[in-house]
Amino acid sequence: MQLFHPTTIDEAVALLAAHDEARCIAGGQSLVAMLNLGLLDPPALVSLRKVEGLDRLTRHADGSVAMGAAVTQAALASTDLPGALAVLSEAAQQVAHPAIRNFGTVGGALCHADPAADLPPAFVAADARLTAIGPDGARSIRAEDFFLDYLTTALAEDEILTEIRLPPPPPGSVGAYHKFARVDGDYATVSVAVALTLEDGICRAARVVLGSCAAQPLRLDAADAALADTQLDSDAVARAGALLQDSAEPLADMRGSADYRRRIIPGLVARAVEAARARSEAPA
Amino acid sequence: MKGLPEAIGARLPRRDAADKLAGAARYTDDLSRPGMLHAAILGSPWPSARILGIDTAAARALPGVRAVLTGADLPDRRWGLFVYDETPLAAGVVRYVGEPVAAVAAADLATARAAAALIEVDYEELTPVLSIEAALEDGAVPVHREFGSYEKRPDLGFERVNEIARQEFSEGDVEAAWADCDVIVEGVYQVPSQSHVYLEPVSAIAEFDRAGKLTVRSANQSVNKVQATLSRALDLPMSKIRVVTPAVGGAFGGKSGVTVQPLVAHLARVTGRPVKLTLTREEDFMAMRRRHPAVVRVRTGAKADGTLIARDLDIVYDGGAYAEDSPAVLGFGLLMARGPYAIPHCRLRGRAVYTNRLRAAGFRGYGNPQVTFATEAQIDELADRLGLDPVELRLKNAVEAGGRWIGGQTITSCGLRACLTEARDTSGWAGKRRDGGIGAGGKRRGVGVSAFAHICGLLGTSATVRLLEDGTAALAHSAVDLGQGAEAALAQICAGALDIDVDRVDSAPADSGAAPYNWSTGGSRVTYMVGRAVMQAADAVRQQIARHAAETFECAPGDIEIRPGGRAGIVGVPERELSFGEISLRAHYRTGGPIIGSGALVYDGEAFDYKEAVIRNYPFERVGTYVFGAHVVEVEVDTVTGKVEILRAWAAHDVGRAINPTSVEGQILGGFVQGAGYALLEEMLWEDGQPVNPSMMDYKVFGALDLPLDIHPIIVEEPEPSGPFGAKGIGEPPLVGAAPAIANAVAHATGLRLRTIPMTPERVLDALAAAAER
Repeated sequence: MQLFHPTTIDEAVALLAAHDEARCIAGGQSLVAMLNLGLLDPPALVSLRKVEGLDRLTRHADGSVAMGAAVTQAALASTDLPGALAVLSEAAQQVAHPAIRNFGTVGGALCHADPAADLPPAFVAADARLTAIGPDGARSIRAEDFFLDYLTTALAEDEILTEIRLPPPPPGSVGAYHKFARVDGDYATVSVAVALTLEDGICRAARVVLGSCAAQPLRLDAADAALADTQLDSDAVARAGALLQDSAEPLADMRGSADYRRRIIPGLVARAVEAARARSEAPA
Repeated sequence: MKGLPEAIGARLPRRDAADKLAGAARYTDDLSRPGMLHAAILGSPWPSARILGIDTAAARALPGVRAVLTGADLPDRRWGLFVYDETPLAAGVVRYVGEPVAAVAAADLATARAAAALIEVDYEELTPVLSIEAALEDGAVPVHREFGSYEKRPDLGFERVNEIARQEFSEGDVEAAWADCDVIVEGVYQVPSQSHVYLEPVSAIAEFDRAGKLTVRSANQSVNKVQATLSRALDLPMSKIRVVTPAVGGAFGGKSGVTVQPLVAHLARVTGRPVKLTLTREEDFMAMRRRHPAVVRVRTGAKADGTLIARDLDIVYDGGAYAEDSPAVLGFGLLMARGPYAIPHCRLRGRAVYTNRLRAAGFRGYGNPQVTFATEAQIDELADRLGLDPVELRLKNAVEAGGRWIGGQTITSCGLRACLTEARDTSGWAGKRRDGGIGAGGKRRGVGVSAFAHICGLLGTSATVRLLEDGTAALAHSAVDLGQGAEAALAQICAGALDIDVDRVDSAPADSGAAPYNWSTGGSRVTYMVGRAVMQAADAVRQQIARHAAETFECAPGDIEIRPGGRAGIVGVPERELSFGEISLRAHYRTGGPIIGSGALVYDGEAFDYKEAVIRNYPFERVGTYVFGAHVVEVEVDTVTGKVEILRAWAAHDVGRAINPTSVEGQILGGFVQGAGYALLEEMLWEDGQPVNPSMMDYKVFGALDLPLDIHPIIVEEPEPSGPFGAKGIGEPPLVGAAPAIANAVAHATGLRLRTIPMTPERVLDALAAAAER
């Protein structure tokens, strides 16, 4: 296995294009585990650690945020983000353990596209835009179009995720990430990422995204619509939970059966929505 | 009695603590020997199959490979603790997925693993036995067709195919007694297979010198057991085998016998080079040991006033593919099945069976957690039916010192009542009991109690104490320290017995070539049993010190007293004294020779009374010196997810005397946490004989963030007359009492009795849903 250390994105893209089935490595927290388990055996690894600027996280004055793909999960976890973007930090705080968060990168976690991981549903809830650079230049992909299937993304073989952009959160927006797992640091049995826009107690817009409940983060227009223009009363929240429950196709594994996961969805959605709403009531 | 010496009851830090914190402690895998080769194993993919052929040519051809061994290359020399059924590599057939079939020694680990992957094995699959029911059904396939030809210890009592052992402890007349009971509860309880999950996977390094002597460095719980088994496995006299133990990263019973030492020794023998084998975590999960899962059927009856009258218990333990410690685990479980209560009529019967799953073995609690989970649930079920407080019901029936255990032995010391009342009073039991089921946000609170017992006296041990030239002492014993603090406790006992500072006692790591025999670090016995041997050895040293002092002062030895700080002087004459250093120099250079004391004993408590009780096929005539504990646990059950959260726990344990209270508390906390995992989280699972969760990704254990800081160890000291300074044992009981107290708390919170553990969120939610439908 060859290991390359490009210093620019163009160089990295060229290396990917030149080596069939080559993989990018940043923090290595997913990839190295896959290598150790013998699940992957790429002929070449392209390290992104020496590429300038990939680890920068910028908060703009308008509330928008841009973060390089190699921002560590620990860095995201310790960053205060405005409004609903708090869902991102909160999800990052719950990824595995400190040692893993110190190495693991945001971009790596998104590109690994494990539906049980914490960051994908949070980034979908925040409606993130992912910048991918390939031989033909850059393109922007909405987070919810990025996750195609289990461990599968919209990236082409020779494309690299370089940056994640978050639009400015609207006034009155709040976010929360509610994770249910067997033990601290485990993958989620079921997780719920929520971004709400509240105006005088009325929910004007909602994005509720489930982790570990499908081959990719699960968001439903109908469920979000069930919450919109309500006071988030228990009926509305239950309706949204039931819609998500009906659409969920969770895997069965050691964390729980598919049936169990489906059963706990409405209750967890209610807790996540309540956690987000409580934030709007908390003194700033 | 005068006051205790300073070293006894002192909260002293472990001597290895700083090294461990700094990462400087050296475990077996950290060690290297000149010219050392690295080994890898190939495991069976089938739970039951005949090996038709093994092609090792490709593995042998790989550059760097020095040896490839299969079962056919090894002598037919089996070992075991009760049934000699084990071989280093599968011999002709495989009996569980992961069983080592072949092994490679190579210049480096990557080559060894690559070569192991090149070995081709031709199997003929056989019908596996995958459950207790399948093992015992009529016409069951025998897991060991050759069982009849194996060498065995006598009186295991097996009757049917796949039975390893069948045992019984009974007293009174159970059938007649039911008529005297006002209330009878009955239930079937299922307990899981728990993995030891010691932090350090199994590891061994073996090497032969040119005189043919074998030295093995390995993680183990007994250099002497490993030495004896290697002797049998390799046909070498024990005088040609030295077993050394570097730092050990936990064991919990999983390293109590040999693990990979015989295999590594064979590889060292055929290559003529030192060889190291360290299992990966996944290999360790699949090929080592586990706790016996079991099915327990119990019926318990009581009078309306709460007096316990009768119990009928039948347990079947799944022993897995090899017999290992199953006969002793079974019998010990039965010995604990009456519980710490004076129930006059008991019939306690059980079996251990072979299946085509990983071997089960000793594991912290040793058959007791399985039984106590069921029996302590029944005490609460009785209390519920009788409308009595669970603590009061236990107090009413609790055994006391001077009373008798099942089997007839006299209970020599007993702090059970104190444990129950301390746990009750410090936990605020009464108020919490009133508020059962209350909670907010979909959560319900409850509080539960358990009372339980264990032993700490069994088998043989020995120790020596030498007085060094400067008057400090060198203690030698073979109680391997597994991380629990045995080394520190025994050094404190030695220091206490000589009334010197503990820094003036040296003790060496366990080494079969340098220290006297100890059966094992297991059975919660080290502080009590090895401690007694240390007391004897130190007493012998004291006597010699007194004789030297008497000779010097020309007085009778009876007029000499040992004074704190390492001095001996004439009673009533403070200025007439010698330091231990002065006495030791006299002994070394003038007269008498260096001062050495030794102690040795085999457990010497009362034997079982075979006239009072029906005791069938229990392999020991005496084990005992009973220890007691009581737990109170407060939980919150989440009705949305089914998750049980432990909010607070109070764990009271009668340890006789806490030699080092900090270490005792550590044992209580660690045991409780491991028991909480057994209750709520941990279960090794198989599907069609294939392990489904043999990794830390899928098999989880509780970590620091999963349990509350509010776990309160409570030390009760009811001195044991035969114990060193009154001390008894503590290693296992804190695990034993955890699951039943948690289950009783869940029942209090929800009104639901879960008879299967672990009480995973899914199981709890299922139970809540089923109750809602009723």
